[in-house]
Amino acid sequence: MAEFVQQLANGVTKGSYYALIALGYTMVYGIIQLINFAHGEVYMLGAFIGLWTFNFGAAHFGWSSGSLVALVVVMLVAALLTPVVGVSLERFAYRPLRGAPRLAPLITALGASFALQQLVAVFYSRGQLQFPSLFPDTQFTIAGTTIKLLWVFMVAVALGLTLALTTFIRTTRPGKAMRATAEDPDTARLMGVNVDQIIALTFVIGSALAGIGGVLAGMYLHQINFFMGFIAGLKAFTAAVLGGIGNIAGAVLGAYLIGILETFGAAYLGGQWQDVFAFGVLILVLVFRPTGLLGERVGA
Amino acid sequence: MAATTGGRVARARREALARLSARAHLPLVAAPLGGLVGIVGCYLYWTVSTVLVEGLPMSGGLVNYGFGGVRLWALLLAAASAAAGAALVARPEWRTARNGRALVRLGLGLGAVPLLWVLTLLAFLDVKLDRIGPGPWVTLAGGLVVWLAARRLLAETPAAPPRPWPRRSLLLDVVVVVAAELIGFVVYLIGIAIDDAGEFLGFFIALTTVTATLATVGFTTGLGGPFRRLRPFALALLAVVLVLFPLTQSGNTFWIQVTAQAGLFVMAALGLNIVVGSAGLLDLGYVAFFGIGAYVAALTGNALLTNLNFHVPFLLVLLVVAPLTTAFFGVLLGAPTLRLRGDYLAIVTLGFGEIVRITLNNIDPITRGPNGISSIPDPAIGSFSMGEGFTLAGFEISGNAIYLYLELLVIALTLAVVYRLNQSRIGRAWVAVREDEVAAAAMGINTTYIKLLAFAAGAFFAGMAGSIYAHLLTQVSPDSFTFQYSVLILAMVVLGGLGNPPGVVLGAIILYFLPEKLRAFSDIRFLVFGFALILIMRFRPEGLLPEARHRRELHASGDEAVAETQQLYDVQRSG
Repeated sequence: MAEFVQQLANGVTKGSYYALIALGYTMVYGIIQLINFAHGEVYMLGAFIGLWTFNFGAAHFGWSSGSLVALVVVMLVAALLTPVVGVSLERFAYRPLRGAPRLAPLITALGASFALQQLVAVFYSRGQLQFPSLFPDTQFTIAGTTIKLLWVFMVAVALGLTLALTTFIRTTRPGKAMRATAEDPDTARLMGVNVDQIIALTFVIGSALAGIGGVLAGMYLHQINFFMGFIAGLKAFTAAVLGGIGNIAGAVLGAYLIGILETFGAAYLGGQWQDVFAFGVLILVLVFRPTGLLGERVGA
Repeated sequence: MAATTGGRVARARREALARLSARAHLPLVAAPLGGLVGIVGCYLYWTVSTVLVEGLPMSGGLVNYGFGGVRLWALLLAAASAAAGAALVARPEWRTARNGRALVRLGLGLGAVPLLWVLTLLAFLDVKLDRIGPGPWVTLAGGLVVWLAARRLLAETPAAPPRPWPRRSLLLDVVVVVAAELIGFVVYLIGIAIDDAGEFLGFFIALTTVTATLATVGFTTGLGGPFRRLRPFALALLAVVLVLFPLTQSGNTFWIQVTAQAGLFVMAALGLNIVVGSAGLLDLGYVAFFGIGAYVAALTGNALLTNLNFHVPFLLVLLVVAPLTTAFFGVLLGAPTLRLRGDYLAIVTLGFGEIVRITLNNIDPITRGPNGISSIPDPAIGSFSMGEGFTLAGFEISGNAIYLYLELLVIALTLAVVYRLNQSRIGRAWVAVREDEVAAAAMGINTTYIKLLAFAAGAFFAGMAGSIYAHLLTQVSPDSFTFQYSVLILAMVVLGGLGNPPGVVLGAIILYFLPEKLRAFSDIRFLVFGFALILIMRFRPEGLLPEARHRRELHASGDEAVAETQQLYDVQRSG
């Protein structure tokens, strides 16, 4: 039983950063019906930007791991710089192809994913890099289950940001414009919505969330590499589909389910089958319930 | 009506030329001068010291005396620019928009050779800027002048779209076909013979530029005429040339081996083209089928290091067992997923590719896990072992060459099947599904069945390619079938021209040989692939040799559209 709860805790933690990536997938898909293959790379870049920021701070301001200032700054920088990548992708790779056959932007997204990965591999590092644990290394044990404070923090960040995003989309003017654009871009444009701007905003928000997810994942996994975005992105996409793509609550639910299923799968069937498990779920969902658990819908 | 159009075009051209000549004296003179400047640059020093670059991968391109190396290719482009510019000075009636665009391309290529050369030196070989002589800068300036001048010369003169050359005499057609194929063959041999990465870069830019220029002025369209009239002859000649290729390598089997490997990717790309190009289904896990085919051949091929060993004759594996196995997996994957929207399909196939790879990695009792199956012997057909080679009339035919011949047979078979399929009811159904699935369904096409068929057919050819792969490489391991290779094969199809088999063959050859030739820059090859995919989709989504239908769909501009609107006007006026 303790083992079971322990795995559950691990799974929920994993689900937290999957959720942050899945939100970006689901928002972008909801608004322009594009699978942004490069989104996983944005998450990877978030982790690398975080590492780079920390190294910079450690060299110039004497940050050490476990300092809360470093944590806040690293997450902020990641959340501010990843949108630059996301918006550039939208502006230069996807927007020119908006009217093209659907195969074209998909292939472009694939190329962008490849290019971003290789940019990091060629100009930064191909190896496994140690990621500092920016969070106090506190842990406590409840009924035989070890819980790290970091895990609680990760769940809190993921749920907090989801709540903020939901509120933003539900109540603010840009949020409403976003919903309108997702429903019908042409009508939205007629109603005075600047559709291009709203799409760019979607990429900004999605990328920032993925960037923060990258930093959290770095702290959780302790290691990052240029290839980490590929598998994580696929799983996050699976999560978005599982929950019902275009649906924000669904993406988060799906991400936690994938995190938990995958952890249990790895624990009881062997770690080498972990990735197969996630893809198997994806195929099963698409076959039996392609609209996902909560159905495809836009907005919160 | 044709006469009216011709008359109108001629009149419009005369008027445009009158406007042009009033303002175009400077660019007209500048274009050939730019070419001359480029020539001068080729004769100047390109590096200040030869010692500096000795032993570096690009050293062959850096000699300070004589010709050879990268400067030869720059010189070729400079001379072509100068000649083309001079031709425009001499013959006013040649100053059409199309010829202007051709000159723009020459200028770009001329500038690109020295520019890329300098950039690679600076970026990859740690050569300092002050070690680079005046030569590349002068040539670059010449290229820029040609480019700018040609852009100024771009008169909006309507020109009739290029047409296939009409038949003059049978002899002329034969000469043209023979010359074109021989030139292509010689260019291929030259490309193989250039060892130095930098020099090859120059050769490749020159080749690309010349081809693009010829295509712009309508030369390639014109070639279509003789080739279409003499198709059986052209194909037979091509087969002879390809069979003769191993004999030109004088016992050196390396490039025969590379060509044989490229042939495998040609086969795989042709298969993927059925799925992506004809039926419009984006398959991102295609290499899984290739891998399954390879493992089937490995497990049935008498390998030394294997856990399972039951022998099946190779021809049976190649033609029946491997392709049917992969086709079965294609159906297995497709049956539940093909009802989905296209982009879901992409991600499911990607997942499938990973599942296959991970499974191959994990079922050690059968596949030996990450070690893979190795020491796979050459297959024997009857009593004849394919690896041994033989001597025929004094010429040595190596084992690799026999693999190559086998592939040529299989590729010919594949192409025949693909062409027959494309012209059949099934092929037309694929295109219909690709263009508009709802409309296709409304017309009575069973879309799920027809998509499943595309999947199975694509997987079938991948299985054939995979089964040869196992024997040619003598080993298979899960690492050879990663997602990167799926993307590589997809890039071949997209670069060559979605849906057009000859284009796909060309794309596969280019993308297989480039990395082989540019090993000095192998670090960045996947980076280049990524950017290439983005740029192709942005600027030439129909690929190098587009399928006619795709081109019309994606580019509703250019000469063709101009001609079409003109005809439209004529119709309106006459009506």
